Amino acid sequence: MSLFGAGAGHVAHHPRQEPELDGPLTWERVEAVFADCEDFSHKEVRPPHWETGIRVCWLGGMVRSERLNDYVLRPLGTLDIPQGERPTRALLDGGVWNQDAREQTTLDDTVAQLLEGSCALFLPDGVITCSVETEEKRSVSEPENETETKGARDSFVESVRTNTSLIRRRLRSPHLKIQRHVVGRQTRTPVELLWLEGLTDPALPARIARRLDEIDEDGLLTTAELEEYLTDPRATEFPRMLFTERPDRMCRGLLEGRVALLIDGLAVGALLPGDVSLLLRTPQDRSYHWLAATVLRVLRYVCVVLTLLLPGFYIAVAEFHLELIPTSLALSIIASKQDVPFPTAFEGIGLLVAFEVLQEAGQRLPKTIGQTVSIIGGLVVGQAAVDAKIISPVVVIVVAVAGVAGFTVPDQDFANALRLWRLLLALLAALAGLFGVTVGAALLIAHLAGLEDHGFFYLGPFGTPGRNALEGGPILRRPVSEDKLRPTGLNTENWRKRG
Amino acid sequence: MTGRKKGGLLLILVLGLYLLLSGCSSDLLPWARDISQVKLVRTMALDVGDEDLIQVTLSGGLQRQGQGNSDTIPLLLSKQGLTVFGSVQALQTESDGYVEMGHLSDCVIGEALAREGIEGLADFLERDFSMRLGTRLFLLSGDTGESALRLTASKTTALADRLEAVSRNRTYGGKGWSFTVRAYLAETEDNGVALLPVLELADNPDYDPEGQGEQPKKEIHLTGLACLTDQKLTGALTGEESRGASLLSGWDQLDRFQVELPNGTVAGVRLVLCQRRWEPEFDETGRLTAVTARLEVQGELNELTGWADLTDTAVLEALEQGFLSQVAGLAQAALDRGQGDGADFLHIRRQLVYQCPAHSTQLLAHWEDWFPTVELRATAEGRVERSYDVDLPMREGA
Repeated sequence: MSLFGAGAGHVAHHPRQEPELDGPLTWERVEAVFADCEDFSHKEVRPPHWETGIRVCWLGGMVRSERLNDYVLRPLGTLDIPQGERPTRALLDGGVWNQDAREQTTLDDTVAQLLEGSCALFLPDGVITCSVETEEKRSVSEPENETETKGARDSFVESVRTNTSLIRRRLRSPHLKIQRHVVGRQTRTPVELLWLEGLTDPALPARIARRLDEIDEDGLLTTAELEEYLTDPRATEFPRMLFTERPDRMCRGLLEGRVALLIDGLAVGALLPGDVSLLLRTPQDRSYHWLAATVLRVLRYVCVVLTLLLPGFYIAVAEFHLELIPTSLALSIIASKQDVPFPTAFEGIGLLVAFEVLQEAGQRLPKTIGQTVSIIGGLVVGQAAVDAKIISPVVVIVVAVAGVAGFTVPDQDFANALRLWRLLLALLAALAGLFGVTVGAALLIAHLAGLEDHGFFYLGPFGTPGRNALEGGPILRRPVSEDKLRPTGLNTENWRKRG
Repeated sequence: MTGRKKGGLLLILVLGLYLLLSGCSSDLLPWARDISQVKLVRTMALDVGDEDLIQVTLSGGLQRQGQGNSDTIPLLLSKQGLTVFGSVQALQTESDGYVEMGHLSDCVIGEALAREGIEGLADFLERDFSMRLGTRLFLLSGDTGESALRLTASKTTALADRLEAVSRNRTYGGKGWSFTVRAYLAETEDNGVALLPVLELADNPDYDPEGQGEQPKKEIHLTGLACLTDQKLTGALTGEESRGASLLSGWDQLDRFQVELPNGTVAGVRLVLCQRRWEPEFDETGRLTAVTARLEVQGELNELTGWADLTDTAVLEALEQGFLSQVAGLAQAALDRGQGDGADFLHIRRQLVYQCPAHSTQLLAHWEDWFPTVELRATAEGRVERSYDVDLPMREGA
């Protein structure tokens, strides 16, 4: 039995079969491929003066009926092909009113087009597919998790084409390149790679494109599946891609020289390479005055330190280093712990785990019930536990402060990683006091410093001399007019972002 | 070797190096003692015990923070031993929790022990890792430290709180409470002489013998300074000498003066600023002949008992001259007392050595010979500020 389930060990690579569907491109073969598929529809149209009909097939729900009827079936019904001309050529030259009519030669490509919302026309001399896909999708709405008071109110939706249009509307530059890749044996998910030519290091999109093409798995349905393929395979819980639902934030990343990914079916985009400073920035940083933004950024970093170290530090000083606590505070803590049966370490770690359980329960449940769970768990049970002398109020305060401080981290993945390390540091503190906390903190820094993705170090903005130092570094935000250069580590072709 | 193995080895090496920082030899990990299982000691009293023993009395003060008033008087633990350390360790068995000395804020020394010498205490405070160098030292005049702890304890107050207030209030505007273990050790190391504040017990007028321990039987007051030479009590500075020593050492600027004006009105002046400068005089052979302590002071007029025309220059000059002469008189009294006792408790030698490096060798070599005969003078310069409009003089009947 394995913790990671059966087959967690090494399994030899087994490349996907190319082509996936073999055999000739015939109507019978396509029908066989889509046998037992209720949504597979077809119709035979016979143009005037034709002895045989043209078979048209599509997948119901994937196509827009008006387009299929008006721009494909209707022209076919009145098609008049001059003597001696190939029907396929005649249709491609305007016989059907479609911007994306193309001739197909393989079964694989034809089936792929059908799955993307095209219809296939089986002519006597070949097969043509016409894109008549439906554009039914959720309309662009306000971002739910990255709200901003003084900025744009639109966010990505599940349609990749809509998302690219949101980017295009902000970056009206011919240098914005959008490259399409299809990922997933079964899902065939379109993933689009965006970058600014002449600005982004050309090696970066090339490398990511290669990795996208190398992805060989059944499906791509979540962001983590993509992240694990695109970032270097190192065991870390820290995110190395920034996922955002804000097009303006993605544009900012593109202008910095990063590359972006938009995945069809997901209402978020990804920026990479990611680093700590990117993950701790918010869209508001650019909306507020630079002084206010700097103070808020510093506050965010302080909160990161608090959420990581506070529980561990409290456990360490209360268990091992009482001399570090001011006398009056120590007396307060002692008084509050009278009659509490558990040692501080048990209380602290237990409450941290309880906090995580509550948070997880709140997220799994519907919003309204989740809030109820939080209130009952946090306030009622917490207060009852304090009143019953099961836990001391000081521990509740410490864990609550650490928890609230953790909520200031803008990136949820980064916050999750900090939660994990917070627990680890608390365990080390219970084991060896501040010595343990120091060891844990050193390991954390070493771990972060060792993370490198696409030649860009995770802590790079903090350690790279030169331009970052010149521009105020990753923590402080300088006035916009003075922030002239792009981050060093991204190795951009164009260093300067303003005159 | 693969990168993964190298990383693992590096990790083990780093962890191994960290173990060296733990300071542990026999035990791998530090020793944990939960905060709920300790008894914090805030005040320690030391007295002469039976025969050659030292009596150590410990008090945790009131354990009331965060929980309202205490319903019991502070617990006292007392033990005698050959050493302070031995007595403290013996007290571990007397308490229902671990006796934690790391929060010791005050140490009260009985007069009898101070006369015999406190070398053991100083050494314990210096060596023991759990002791704080910021612990305040006090000397109790005419009684034992244990009495001070016992008689000043009640359900509402403890000696630790009173000493905290004393040290905080007396250092307003000064350089902070100077009479700590750190300062004592440094001064003793410098020239063998150190000053300690002297406390005295007095009857508490609010004490009710029939009460349930609501009020303490005695109150404690700061009365002056004691001089310890070679860690033994050799004399006490009271009144003007004590105030002068405070002015010259800069630890207290909360002094006040009453100056009588020519018309008999008394002015209350508060000292708000005092800067000191030592000016040595050497003869042609390099011998120190005189040292002048120049005090630059600033006073603030706080009260007049009667009429005074403050627009009159002569009145103002009389006010300032009276104030300055009192300041200089206090300083002179302290200088004379130190010279008379042959104790350089103001650490004039150290000041001059820093100030005149060219003469430092001779000062260090001949100080013992020169100090009894060198002329010590104190002068004061400065002015008295008025906190209201001088164009509106106080008039009789106004």
